[in-house]
Amino acid sequence: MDTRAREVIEVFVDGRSVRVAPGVSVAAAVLNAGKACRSSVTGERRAALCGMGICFECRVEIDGVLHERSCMIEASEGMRVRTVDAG
Amino acid sequence: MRAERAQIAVVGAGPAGIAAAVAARSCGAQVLLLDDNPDVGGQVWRRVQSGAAGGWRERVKQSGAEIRSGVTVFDAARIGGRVLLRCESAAGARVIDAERVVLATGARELFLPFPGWTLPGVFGVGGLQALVKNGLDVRGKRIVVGGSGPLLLAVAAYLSERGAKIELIAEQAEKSRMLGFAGAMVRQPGKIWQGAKLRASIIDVEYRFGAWIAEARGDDRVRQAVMNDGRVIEVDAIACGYGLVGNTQLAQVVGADVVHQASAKGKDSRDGKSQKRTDLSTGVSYGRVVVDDVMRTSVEGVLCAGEPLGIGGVETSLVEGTMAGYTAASRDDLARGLIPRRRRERAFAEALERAFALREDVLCLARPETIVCRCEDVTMARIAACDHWRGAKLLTRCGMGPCQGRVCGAAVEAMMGWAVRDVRPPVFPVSMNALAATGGATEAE
Repeated sequence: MDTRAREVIEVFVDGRSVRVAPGVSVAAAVLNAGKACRSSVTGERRAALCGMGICFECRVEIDGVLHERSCMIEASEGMRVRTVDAG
Repeated sequence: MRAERAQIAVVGAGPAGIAAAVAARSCGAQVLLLDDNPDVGGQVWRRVQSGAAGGWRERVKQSGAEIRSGVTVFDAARIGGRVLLRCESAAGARVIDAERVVLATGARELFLPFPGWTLPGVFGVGGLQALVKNGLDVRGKRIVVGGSGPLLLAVAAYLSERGAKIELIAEQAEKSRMLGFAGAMVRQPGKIWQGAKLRASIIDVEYRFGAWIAEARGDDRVRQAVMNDGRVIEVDAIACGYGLVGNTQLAQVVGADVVHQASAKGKDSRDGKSQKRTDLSTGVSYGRVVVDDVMRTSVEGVLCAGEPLGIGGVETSLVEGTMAGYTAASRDDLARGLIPRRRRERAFAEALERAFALREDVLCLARPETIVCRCEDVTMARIAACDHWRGAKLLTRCGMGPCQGRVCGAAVEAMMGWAVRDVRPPVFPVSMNALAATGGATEAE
């Protein structure tokens, strides 16, 4: 589906509905929902740092695919995102 | 896998890559423009449609160059008189077999570790701007912007326009250093500095020289910024970046000559452990791809333009990209005509670099327990116990995570004065499928 044609896109961050404008990155949707992104190898909560795909701190699970860089991917209708803060 | 043929492949669609594609197309060459972002424009023109950015976007779209976004080039090699690129995108893996390649891989931010910098809510300066451009809401957020360089002002102004409350802009350089820079400004008017300054005066924000963020404090996210003078500022976010580092990985992998000037810190870090230095130069300087006067690297058929040659900014990138495009299309004569312009732009960039040279204080902010390598959670103490980068990698896994040392490598180079130069393909993490599907394509015959 062409998400550009829509006015609002609904994604699910840890099961919660989040509405964002077309073109918004998954990282922005996650942060706007008050969530962090991943758990570090020693268990620290981490969120986006570089915003441009090089630091890999913003990794989340998107539609079942692990370790996706959320800053490099635009939110699309119905997308299911899982972060470190999933209950 | 059967390789896709291209006459000229340009890697990176920021100003340099766009200019290269436009120039090469204007000479009638067939051009494939590859970029890993969802849209062209690179970092500096992310979501900017107006002004020069809009003009160049339009030019490249009308140029007849084939633009492919969302493509990561993870390996490059010169084999049998051609240059092969291994790529991955959502559509799958691919090998591109090009006559000539222009590397316009841009730059990343330099992050210098400080206590608390791993807390959620601590971003890069360009990093926070990129996130806000992509939809992060900063309305009403209290933000301290720190680090170094003209980007601080520009980003603070941008964040302010988007509704953030900028508490302070902390520039590590001393104001006296700007005097020399002002001289360069007189010779080169019309630069971003002026525009940013104008905007900063509009937003009425405290801008301090000789100031830096010493620590970030918080719990589940950042709550306070502690400045070097002990002042504590309540914040919702911190944006901190110490300038830019060129992305030379692909150039290194293809075998192009890169000059490394070892950096050095002037004194021991706070853990009291003596650190090994390779020289006593004052500034921090990273690897730069070596090119001739028309942008050819030491590898035949491989050209390079923009930030990987040394941080130069948009204007430099446009000139060098244009030159690289002409040269790639065998019109060195046209490229030569731009040599004086390139020299002027580079002189300006060097003045900028001198003005914002890093002070040693910001190279020793990390405490022994501060994490330096965020991928593998390696602390400063563990790194400081090593003798060199390779040793640190082997003993601590520093730089061995998915960012492949893009963040900690540059930081360690600055803090420890070690040469960080070992780069191996794939230069980005890719799927096993992509490796297998393109496997062997770039191995020497």
